[in-house]
Amino acid sequence: MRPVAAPAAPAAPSASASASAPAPRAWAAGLGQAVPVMLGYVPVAFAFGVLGHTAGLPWWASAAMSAFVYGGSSQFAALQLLAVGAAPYAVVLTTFVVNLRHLLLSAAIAPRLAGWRRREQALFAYELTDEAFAVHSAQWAERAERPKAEVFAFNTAVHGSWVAGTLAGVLAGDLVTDVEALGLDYALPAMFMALLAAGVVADRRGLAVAVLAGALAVGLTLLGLEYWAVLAAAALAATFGLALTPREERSSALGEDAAPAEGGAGR
Amino acid sequence: MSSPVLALTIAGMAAVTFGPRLLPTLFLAAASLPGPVVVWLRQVPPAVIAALLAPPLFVPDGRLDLGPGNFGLWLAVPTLLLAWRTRNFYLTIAFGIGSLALLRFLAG
Repeated sequence: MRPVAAPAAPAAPSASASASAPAPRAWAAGLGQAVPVMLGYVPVAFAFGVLGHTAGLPWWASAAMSAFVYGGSSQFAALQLLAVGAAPYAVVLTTFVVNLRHLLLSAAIAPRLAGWRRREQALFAYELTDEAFAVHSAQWAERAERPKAEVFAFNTAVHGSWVAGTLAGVLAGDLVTDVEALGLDYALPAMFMALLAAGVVADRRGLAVAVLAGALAVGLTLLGLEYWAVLAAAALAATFGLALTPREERSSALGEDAAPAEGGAGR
Repeated sequence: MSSPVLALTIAGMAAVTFGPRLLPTLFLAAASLPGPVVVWLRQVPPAVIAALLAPPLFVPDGRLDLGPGNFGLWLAVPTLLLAWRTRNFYLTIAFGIGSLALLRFLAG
């Protein structure tokens, strides 16, 4: 384990080459990975800000939701509920249900954070959105050793764009804007497609899991269970993937790509 | 809703969102997990990403839409092909955004 916030002086050369890359380069890498997500986030956050304003929410409430809750679909759901005068507990309960899928994301990514400090793990978890999960798991599948500066640069930029987009929307208020004409609403779907093709789907088993998860999620959405769709579809499809995995691979435990990122707490 | 109640509601929303994001990170990181759990968790990324991707494409406005007017859905075919052949992240996103904007422009 390395010291974390070493001052600018070059730290002692440590375990891995990539992890000791200079911090500016790591920040630049993280920002580069953040750009497509920011492209997708800003228009959506802007729309959230506008809708919040229209629904009569004070500006600080929209901004606080984006800063502290930081979960897109749950924020829109809350807005809808607040607009019809729902009780606070109903808003909180709905938020819980909508964001429960993050349990799965956190569990899937946890082994990568094995050697991290608690507060670093907590800060990372705080900013663990769907899109952050997708990018981080794809990046970690490619390079098990990533500088923390890269990871946090990504999270900061993306979270910042969500809050900034919200504030811009609140300020723009009643202006009706057409983000759809620019096709920006396709930034996140296209990013998901790129991530799937670029290695998240590594083999036929991964492809089968992805197709099943997509089909189940569509089915659940059509049944009106859109808040449960991602969680239930992903859990079922992952279980299907486990069933497809040969027994010997299952019992041989930690493959290299699931090894703790810091090479610390292996078994 | 009064301001204090609204603030408390948002605090509650933040707490129930942070909890599920935080707890597995803290508790699973230190433990060494049994093999099947590791294999299961390894299937989660493709499953989650596909489950996030598919509903907005197939069910854009709350109803199943397989019609020719559902540009996003049909655009997924060349976009996925391009992504798979080039493995180029930015090219894929630029193609998706640009094509959708063009289609919408042409469709008036």
